[in-house]
Amino acid sequence: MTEDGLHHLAVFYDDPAAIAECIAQTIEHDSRHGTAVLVCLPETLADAVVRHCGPDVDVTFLPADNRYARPIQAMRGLWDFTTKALDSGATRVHSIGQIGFSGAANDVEWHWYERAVNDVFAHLPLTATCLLDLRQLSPSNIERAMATHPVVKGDLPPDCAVHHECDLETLVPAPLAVPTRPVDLSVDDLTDPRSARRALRQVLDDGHEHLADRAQVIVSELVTNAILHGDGHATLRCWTDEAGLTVQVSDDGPGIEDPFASLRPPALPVRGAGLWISHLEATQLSVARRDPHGTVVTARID
Amino acid sequence: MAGRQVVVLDRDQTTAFYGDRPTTDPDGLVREFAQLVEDAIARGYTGLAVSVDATGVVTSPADRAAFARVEHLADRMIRSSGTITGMCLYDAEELSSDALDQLGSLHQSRWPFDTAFHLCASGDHRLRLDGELDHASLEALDLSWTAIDPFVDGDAVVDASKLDFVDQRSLRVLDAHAAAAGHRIILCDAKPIVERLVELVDARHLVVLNGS
Repeated sequence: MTEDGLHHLAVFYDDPAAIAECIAQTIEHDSRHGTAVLVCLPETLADAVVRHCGPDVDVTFLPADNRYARPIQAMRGLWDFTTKALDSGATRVHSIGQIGFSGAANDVEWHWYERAVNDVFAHLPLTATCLLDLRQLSPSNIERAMATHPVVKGDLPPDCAVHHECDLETLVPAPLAVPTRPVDLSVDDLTDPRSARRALRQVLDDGHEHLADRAQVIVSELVTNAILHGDGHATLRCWTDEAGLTVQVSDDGPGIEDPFASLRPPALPVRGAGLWISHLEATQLSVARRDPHGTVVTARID
Repeated sequence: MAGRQVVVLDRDQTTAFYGDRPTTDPDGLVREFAQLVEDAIARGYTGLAVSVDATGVVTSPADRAAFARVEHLADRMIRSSGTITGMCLYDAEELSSDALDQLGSLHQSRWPFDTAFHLCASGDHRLRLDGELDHASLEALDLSWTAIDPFVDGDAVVDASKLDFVDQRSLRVLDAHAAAAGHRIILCDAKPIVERLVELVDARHLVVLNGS
């Protein structure tokens, strides 16, 4: 992190009225100093912020339900807003948001997202303020949020059982599981994406036509990546069920070094957009290393 | 047809007929074909059917690029006249499969082994982009688009209603062509997912129009 780069803050609160007033003051200050502001908060908190803001404040509100539906959508929203604001002349961007940690197993994906933000935006002039409602957070989520944010503000309650120690390496999402039953489609040694799409059509024509366009894009992009960045050959596996399909594309290449590859936005011409688009079009997607070498990308398409 | 007349040129004569005009005067060359049609109709024929073995004028990449422009202009003439049909022959023993793919993509259809995509003339000065575009066809798409020079009249309007598949790399190639020309490519009646991909790759020179 540099002075002009990313400032990533975790702000704990337990008084919505007080934090809304504080946010409004921050927004007014930012908008007077050439900073583009993006606010993505739960509806009641967003309404309270609006009531405190002056009429001439330039701020963009996004519905939290939409942006925080999935980590990849949150990343896209933040990336698009930041890059477009900077292209339009903003000197800095301030994103104020609140992720709804629910205590469910997929909370770890959101902590992983926070880690990815540290990496993806490291050199961009962005302040990312993450509000955390102490009334709703489990001790483990408080602990993890403290570990994933370089700066932490707000007073923790005295009875909060937080040890301030969290092994970041435990905050790694598990790869998507594939069904244990036999595959419905298995093709080895693919050397072109068209053959993969043609093979996939066989299973799509059997009651999954409504998923065809998305599935074709995902499989085509993943197979292309496997061919280009692997050893020139790709393997495709597919399982279908009533709700949709699970596809897995693997290669025997050197493997992806970037741990945040599935969440990293495309920055042309250096980085392509295939994995990014596949993740956005899929319902879920994970990237893992293949033993002993190579890459395995698994996508769920519902 | 009131009567039939067949004129046969061998490959050497055909190559001599073309000369260097694919490079120096592609429009004049196609106008000459148009004149042959008019002459045929003036003499009582209902049209002109041309079957050409053009292998001799497409042996090098540069010659192929030049002749691709002729192919496209001829395609537009065929589309607009309705009185001429054309069949281009290329010797598969002498040309690479990439060359055959590139040339095949500029025709309404190819036999045998159809190409992955076709970039052809359509009505009303439009283009038609059919088939599937992906990483394997990137180079052919790039060459074909360069050769046909579709921005002569401004934005390029493309009928994409039979574009079965397009990947993000192909969209970026099209976007780069439009950006370099300072114009837009209007993709008409493409699948909804094409519009999403255009947005996702931030292809600012591509526009998807439906119901056009």
